[in-house]
Amino acid sequence: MNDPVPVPFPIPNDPSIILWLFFWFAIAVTVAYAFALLYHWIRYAHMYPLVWVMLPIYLIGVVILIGAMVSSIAAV
Amino acid sequence: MTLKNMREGEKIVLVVRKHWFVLFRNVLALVILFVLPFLFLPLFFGFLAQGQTPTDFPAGVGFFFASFWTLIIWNLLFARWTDYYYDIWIVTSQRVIDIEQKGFFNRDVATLFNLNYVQDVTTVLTGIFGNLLGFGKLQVQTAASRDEFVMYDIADPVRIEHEIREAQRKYYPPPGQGHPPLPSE
Repeated sequence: MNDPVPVPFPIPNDPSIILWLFFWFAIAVTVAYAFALLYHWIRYAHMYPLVWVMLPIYLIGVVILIGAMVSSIAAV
Repeated sequence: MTLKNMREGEKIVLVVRKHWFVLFRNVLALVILFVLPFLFLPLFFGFLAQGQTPTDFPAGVGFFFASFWTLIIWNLLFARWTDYYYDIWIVTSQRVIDIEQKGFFNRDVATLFNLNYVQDVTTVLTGIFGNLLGFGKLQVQTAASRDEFVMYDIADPVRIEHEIREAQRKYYPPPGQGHPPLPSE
């Protein structure tokens, strides 16, 4: 009989606590990057027209990935 | 492209970017960074289990960390792209302008040299990829106090050299072969 092996470090009973910590870390990183990217893209858009293509792609990706994180925490 | 602080009568001749391989190299590094946890974490947990059934994690945990890691890499990817896309050299009818984006909030805009100071332009293709894909560095010797300027990893440096020489010939012809426009310094 193969029993599950206990992990050699303590894990809280509610794993979503850890996930929320990672979630807020990812949000902080994303806010910093999004601010820096959007600031540069919009400020110099007159010189770099391709930013208008990348901007929605970036934002849609961010929304989808944050949504994926929230929905997977809800599934835990 | 429009440029602020253009001089009177100045026209943009050419916009030069680094070769796409420079961006590809950075993206490839990110792709490797992206797949590493997906390769090594299963090995790690398999090692912990030591041949027995690996510990079950609640449903969604794996998906959460996959999304988490993808979001981090997603941010880095666009930062790399911005760094690449914002680094340009602009050859105008009077000068060559270097715009360099060094990370975020560090943007360096400088006139590298005036076209009428150019004495010699040389191109160097280095390395296997540089020769295969046709990118390398372009060195400009000028008569100014800072006498040499180098543009690294630019695409098709031979063509850029030709364009710079053409612009110099057109806008600053040798004495007796035309009337060059006077740059407003």
